[in-house]
Amino acid sequence: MENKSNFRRGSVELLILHLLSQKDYYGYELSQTIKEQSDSVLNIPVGSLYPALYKLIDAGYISDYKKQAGRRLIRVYYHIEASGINRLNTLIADYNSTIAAVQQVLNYKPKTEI
Amino acid sequence: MIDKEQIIYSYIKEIKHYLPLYKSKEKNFVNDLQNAIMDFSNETKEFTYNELLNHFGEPKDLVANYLLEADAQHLSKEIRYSHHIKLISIFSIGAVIVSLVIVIMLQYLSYYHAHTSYISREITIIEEDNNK
Repeated sequence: MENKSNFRRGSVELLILHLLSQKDYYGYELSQTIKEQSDSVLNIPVGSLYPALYKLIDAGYISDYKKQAGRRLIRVYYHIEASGINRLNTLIADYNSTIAAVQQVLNYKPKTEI
Repeated sequence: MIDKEQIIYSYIKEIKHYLPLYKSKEKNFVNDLQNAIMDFSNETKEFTYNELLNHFGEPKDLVANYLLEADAQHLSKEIRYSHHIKLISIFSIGAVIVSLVIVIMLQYLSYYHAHTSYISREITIIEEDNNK
């Protein structure tokens, strides 16, 4: 159970960067989009989402800006930067090679000794 | 029925209670979280505290997730800093208490000394020699 969570946790950065490469999102919208698009399989708690976003900002992969939404609500939108696109490509390549490697191991059947 | 703002206030208050430190990054996190809850609130006509818990998770779990994902360097630095501040505060309060005790003791000793001492008087009469 714990390993499954860790596996999913590792993909948070990839999912955020992928969605931001399509348009600018605000935090709650990101979390809801991931949940909806994955049929609720991936439910990233906001407690994990925001620290991941802060780390991406600190690394310079994304930036943020504020936008007034209604009388009392100020939304923080996140925007992917050029270095974020490079990072996304690296993560996608890494993800594909990992999935292929895991699949290869899962398909492995030892030869029975005669 | 408790209104939505009251429910959000209670939830945020509990989040703050579970956060081991409340520096600029944590304030930022609480603000972002509050905005996310406001978005949820705008989408949902009425909700109870339990429905909010179901959607965003238990405050202690949410804080645990935050601590798990937060920058370890920032956390250890801030925790060490607050530990030092706590030590300095305890030491300062201790020093003030010891100083007060010493001052009170000295005052008491001087009072006690004054109280137990007696004034001795010696009368010297100087008479003028009228024969001269």
